[in-house]
Amino acid sequence: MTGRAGRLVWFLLVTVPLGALVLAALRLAVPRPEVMALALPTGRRWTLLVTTVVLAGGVAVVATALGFLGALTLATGRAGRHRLLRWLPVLLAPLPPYVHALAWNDALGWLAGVITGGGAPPPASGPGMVLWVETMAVLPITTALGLVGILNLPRPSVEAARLHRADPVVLGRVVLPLAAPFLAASAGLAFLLVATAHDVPSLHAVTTFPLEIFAEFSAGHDAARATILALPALVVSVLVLALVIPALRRARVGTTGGLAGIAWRWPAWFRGLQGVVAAVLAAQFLVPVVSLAARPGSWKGVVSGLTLAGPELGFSLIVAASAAVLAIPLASALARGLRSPLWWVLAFVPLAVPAPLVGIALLAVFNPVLPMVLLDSPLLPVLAALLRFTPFATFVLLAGLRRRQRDRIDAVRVFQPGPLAGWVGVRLHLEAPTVLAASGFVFALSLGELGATLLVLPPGRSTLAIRISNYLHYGAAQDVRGLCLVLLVVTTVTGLGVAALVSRGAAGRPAA
Amino acid sequence: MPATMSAPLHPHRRRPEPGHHRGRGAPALSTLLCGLVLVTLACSREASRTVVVYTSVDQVYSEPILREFAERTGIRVRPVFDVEAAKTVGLVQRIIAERRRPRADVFWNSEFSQTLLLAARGLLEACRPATAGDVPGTMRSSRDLWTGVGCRVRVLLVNTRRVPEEAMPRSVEDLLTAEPSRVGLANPLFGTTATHAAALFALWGPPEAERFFRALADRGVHVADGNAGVRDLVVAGRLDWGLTDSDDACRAVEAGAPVRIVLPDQGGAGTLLIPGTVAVVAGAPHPREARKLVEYLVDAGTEQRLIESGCVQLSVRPGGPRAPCLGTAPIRVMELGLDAIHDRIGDSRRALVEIFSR
Repeated sequence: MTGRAGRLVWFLLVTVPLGALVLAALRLAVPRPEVMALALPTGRRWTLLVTTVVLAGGVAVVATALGFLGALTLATGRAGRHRLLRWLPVLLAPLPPYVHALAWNDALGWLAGVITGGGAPPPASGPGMVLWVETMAVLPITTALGLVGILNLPRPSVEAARLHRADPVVLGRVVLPLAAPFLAASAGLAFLLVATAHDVPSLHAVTTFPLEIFAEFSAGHDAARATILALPALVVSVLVLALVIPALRRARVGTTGGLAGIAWRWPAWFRGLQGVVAAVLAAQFLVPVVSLAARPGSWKGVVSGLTLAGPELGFSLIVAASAAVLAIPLASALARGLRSPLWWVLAFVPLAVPAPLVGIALLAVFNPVLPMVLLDSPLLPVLAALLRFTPFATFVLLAGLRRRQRDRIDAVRVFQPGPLAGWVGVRLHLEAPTVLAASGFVFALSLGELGATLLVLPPGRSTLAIRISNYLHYGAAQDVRGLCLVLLVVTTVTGLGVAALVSRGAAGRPAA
Repeated sequence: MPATMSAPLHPHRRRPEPGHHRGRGAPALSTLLCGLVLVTLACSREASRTVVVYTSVDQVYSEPILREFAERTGIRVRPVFDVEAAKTVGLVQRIIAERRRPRADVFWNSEFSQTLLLAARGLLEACRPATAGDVPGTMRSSRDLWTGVGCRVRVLLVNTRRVPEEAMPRSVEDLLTAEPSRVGLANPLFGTTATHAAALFALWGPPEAERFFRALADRGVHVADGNAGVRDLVVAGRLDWGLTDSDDACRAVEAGAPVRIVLPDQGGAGTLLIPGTVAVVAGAPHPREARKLVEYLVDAGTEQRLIESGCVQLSVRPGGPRAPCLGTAPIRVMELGLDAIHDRIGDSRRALVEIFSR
């Protein structure tokens, strides 16, 4: 797919369904301008918006800092020699944040019981708990983006600086400024993920702006009103993107495997800090895994889960794999064609749209016109996943495209029979690690998608995430743990495959 | 069990990853696209007799009932299950969004307010199932737009290790006097707790009900994410007691948790009854099969199985069976029509948004 064709497909994919939402909102607001008052966050709604921005901002800062320091520890030094180990903390990315939250509630409840010498404490609630749990839930993603950044930084600049200054100074004055675009991307994505979800705050008795949108949506069943109400959140998201995107455009990247394997010489205090970060990363991974795997019946739950949810697993894999593959040409076309602010907005605005509205928009546009044979296919769930997660792939590819080796590509352009052959034969080869990382992201996130999928799922089909959510409500703890373990095993196998390919690609990349 | 009740799922196909060797990307992409087309075709094989049901009844309960229907009638059932995260409105929203080209034949709802909303919007079709002859008028639509199928009730679930017999709560109003961090209810903006709130608005009048909920919020009574969340917190001893649904409570009792079910307000206005409902969607693509499924679901035998499985605890039929977890004593229920409760949902939600969403 050429860049222009890819951008055209994306343009249609974004503007047609989301345009339908905007049109519906306009149809509602034009004859009744007073409805637009919903778009003004005053009084209680202003408080909710501020709470959401503060919480999402806090999570973004903490998770990005932990993710970057974690990635630095994982990709360099002794740990950096184990290429597959680097990606271990990333494996929990598709686990629904709600499952992270339940695991942390269990763990903290248990810990509080031990400290107080028995007796269950009251439910953990409040913004502090939300901050911690959301940070743990997005840490796999910020760590992955931290790794992508560290593996893409221009090594010669860093090595040259290390000849003249101590490592902590190099970290502060060279590495951090070089990594700033990636940190900005990581913080921006974490912010958007937290600012558009209400499940974890609700679990901890904290009301945020997305719950207000959801309450309005569930009360009135009116997507147009919900869209108008969501406008302030959309404006905040666009502002965040406006801060992140220029930084990403200025990213300087290298072509020699980034900072992988550098033997840093850190002072004791920094090694201590790294130890703390490593402990947090380990806890982020172990608390949900232990909560899922170490209880009686969990592994029996895997067997019953596979028996119960085999078809759901198959359908989920079809949707996630299709989205993971199809997102790449779209994201690649977007990443190469983001020259005007309009394209930047078009590329990333779906990140700011609540998941149920994405589903409603797709349904409103495609249900009346598509033949039943397509409505009964995985097409709409795949489109929903593409719409929601291609921006993530675009973020990752933006970095990869900047490290492309222009001389080789220009040489091939002279001889290539066509753009597709050139892309497949050379660019894909050069960009394989970044492409696979981006694809893996979309795969993992699509596996856990719920809000939009529920609305566009063909009758008679279901996904693993829906089955997990249903069993979670029922209280079938053993089956929930089993199904989550199935999800983890699938992600692990896929993730290890991707990580192996990424590492092989990184190792085989020629020096600049 | 597959989500489609009679036909096997389409075959799995190997799907190549995008490789980084020269020339492998194009075949990989082509294979994927071909795979999608084949999957599409496989998915599209429409059995001669099919019924599409959207259901907010827990999958663990509804799936065996639908499977049994498919086995008995040979009609292929294609369900879409709601999830708790969507607070039972996901499928209602879907039915509304699909109104110009309905995909669903039957809406099987675990409660009644969303069904009444669809009826008010003209999105349900009249259907008088022959098996509903013994269902009383209060449990079905006067225009035959929906029929009741089994009931849940609102209950107080109490942790017996934390609350002695003499301190057992007796009324929802005891939420105002208990230690606030130790009692809870689900968010009253959603689900059956929203319906319960609307019932209190109808019963007490808006000013009194608003005062009650404002006092709950001001005292800092724990607001859980859902009724199952209330149950889990009570079972774990992190709440002493909480207001929840009978299906969630009975599950805890049957699992042997140290809990007891208290039916609230038995000396007063009674507790709230929440009938499940089943309806045919207007413009259903498979109307004949839809009516067959509705007949099957409202049948007394099906209701009995739903009670035995723990999905519902009471019959909609007078003198019908009840779940053992509710005991044998007569149950006093609120004397409010379902329409009267539904009519209050808008008012109560507007008030509760101001109280709880802050």
